[in-house]
Amino acid sequence: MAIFHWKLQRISAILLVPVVVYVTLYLLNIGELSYADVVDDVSSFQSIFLIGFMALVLFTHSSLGIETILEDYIHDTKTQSLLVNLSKFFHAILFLLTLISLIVIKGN
Amino acid sequence: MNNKRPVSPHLQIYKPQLTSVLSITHRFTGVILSLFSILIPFSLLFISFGSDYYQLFLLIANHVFIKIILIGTIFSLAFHLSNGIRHLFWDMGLGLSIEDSYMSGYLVILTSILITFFAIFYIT
Repeated sequence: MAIFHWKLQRISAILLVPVVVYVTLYLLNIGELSYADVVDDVSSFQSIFLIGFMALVLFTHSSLGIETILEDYIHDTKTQSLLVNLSKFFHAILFLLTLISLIVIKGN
Repeated sequence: MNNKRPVSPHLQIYKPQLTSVLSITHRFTGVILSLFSILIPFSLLFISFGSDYYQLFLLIANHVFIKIILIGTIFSLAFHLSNGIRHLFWDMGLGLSIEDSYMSGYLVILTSILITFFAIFYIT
């Protein structure tokens, strides 16, 4: 399980490198774009699939990182497992919210 | 046995050095980025509410106070990204000597600062 955690953390990190660069440059430029441009960019089937997949990778990477930190610094096993589960729950909610928003934008 | 004793690395008694400081900063910036990742679904949510809400989103993002927070987040992102790449090289068994890890450490600091300055120039 620990090996799986380690590998998943590395694979998600590698996948995130180009995404982080692209998204940061896009967001720095967002002031230049009209509402229609942005909607256009995020509502094609390819971009919904890509943003959805990358959100899954990002929130997985984030969740694994927070889990590692909680395991290292929270001593009480009950509190630790409660916080790890809470973190996983919030990350899942953020991922679902991303998907729902994308579907609503597409539907508009 | 005292289960409440500090776990390794013992930050309270550990002499700060470049390698350990960068390692701790990697974790710290990771937590900051986890918190700010909330912005991804929320910005999409604003877009899904329509043009007026999107304009409101841009107006909020344009505020000086928010810009300062964003610059801090961009530094965290630049640091976590470049130090993360350093970690990936280590995982492949490359650059593990003390000399190499110090050199890559200084390179990470330089890269993060340069990316942050580029972003400040771009934002303002």
